[in-house]
Amino acid sequence: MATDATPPTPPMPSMEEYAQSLVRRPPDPKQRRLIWVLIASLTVLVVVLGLVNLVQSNQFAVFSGNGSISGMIVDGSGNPVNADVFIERSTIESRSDSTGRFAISGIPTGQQIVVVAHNGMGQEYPVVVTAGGITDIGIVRVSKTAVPGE
Amino acid sequence: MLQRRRNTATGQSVVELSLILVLVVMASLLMLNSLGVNLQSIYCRAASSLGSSSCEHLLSDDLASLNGWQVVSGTWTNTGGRLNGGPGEGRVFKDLNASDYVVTVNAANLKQGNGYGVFFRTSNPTRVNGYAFQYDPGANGMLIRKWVNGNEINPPIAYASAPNYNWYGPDRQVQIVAQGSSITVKIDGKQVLAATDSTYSSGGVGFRTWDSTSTSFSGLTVDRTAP
Repeated sequence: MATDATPPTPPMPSMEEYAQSLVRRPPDPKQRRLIWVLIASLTVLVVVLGLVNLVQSNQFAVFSGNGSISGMIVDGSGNPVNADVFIERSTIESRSDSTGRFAISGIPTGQQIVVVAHNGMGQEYPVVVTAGGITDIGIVRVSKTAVPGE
Repeated sequence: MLQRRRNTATGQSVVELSLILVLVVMASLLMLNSLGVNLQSIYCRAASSLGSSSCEHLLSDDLASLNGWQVVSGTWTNTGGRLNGGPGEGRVFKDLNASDYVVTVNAANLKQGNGYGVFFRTSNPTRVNGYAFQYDPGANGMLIRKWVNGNEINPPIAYASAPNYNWYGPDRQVQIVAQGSSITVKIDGKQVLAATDSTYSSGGVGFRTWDSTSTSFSGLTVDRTAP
């Protein structure tokens, strides 16, 4: 005679028993080697990109030393003038003395732009600064007008 | 013993994955930085493509008041919903932390004098560094000039002679596009100047008067350049 009774449900395992019954394969050594190759490659990439960013930020010049520039500033008649001298894109600045002469040290090496300014008008002079060297930009005549071509 | 080894093996893989994640993020940020890609700009392009208006303008000012402006020198007043400048050497600035953008002055009007200037990518207003477009009948043309520590650099980085131009009277729309090292200026939609200079890459905007200039401006917007 058939019966409707369902078979008894086996007792549920505890979470701990369940976890212990899972098969844990040890990591594949090949896979692990690949992961470390990937990590090493990414580290090299990060270092290279970091260096690229350092060079682009002009901070690289800090490691290549400093140099100096000098010159003399005169007006349209050739008389010496007190004028401001700036190194563009830096906080380095100085002023010519009563003889029109100036000298600035501690300028990062490489291509720099010197700005000579008098009465609110300035002119740019590209220079190459060498480590430990003095770059003389010679005699500079200040601009009298802001109107182009005059 | 076996349990301890298993736990160790699992812990190491988390360390490895974390390392990979950190290195990928660092590499991505450095790559974007070296290519000059601005993350905020990417976010705003993505946001605007999804219909968000949170990045619509970098700056929008009807110029009906001087709120948020730093008057460095000169005479600046607001009448009739416009910013009026002159006479004399006058400079007024608004700070902006942005690099590539389009400055649009909807209506710039020169009533008299040698001209007016529109500053862009400026910093340190009291001793300004940056660029200025000059609408300049005194120089018989239009020009883009670099400024270093409050000094205007001569010669300008771009100059266009305009001897027969109708300088006075009509409102002009001035538009300056600064993208990377490229700078272009349009007047009433027509390009009048183009220059290349990489001295300054970011900064705010401003206006300038000099000599006997009497000028007025209204409707200033600054927007990101198109991708």
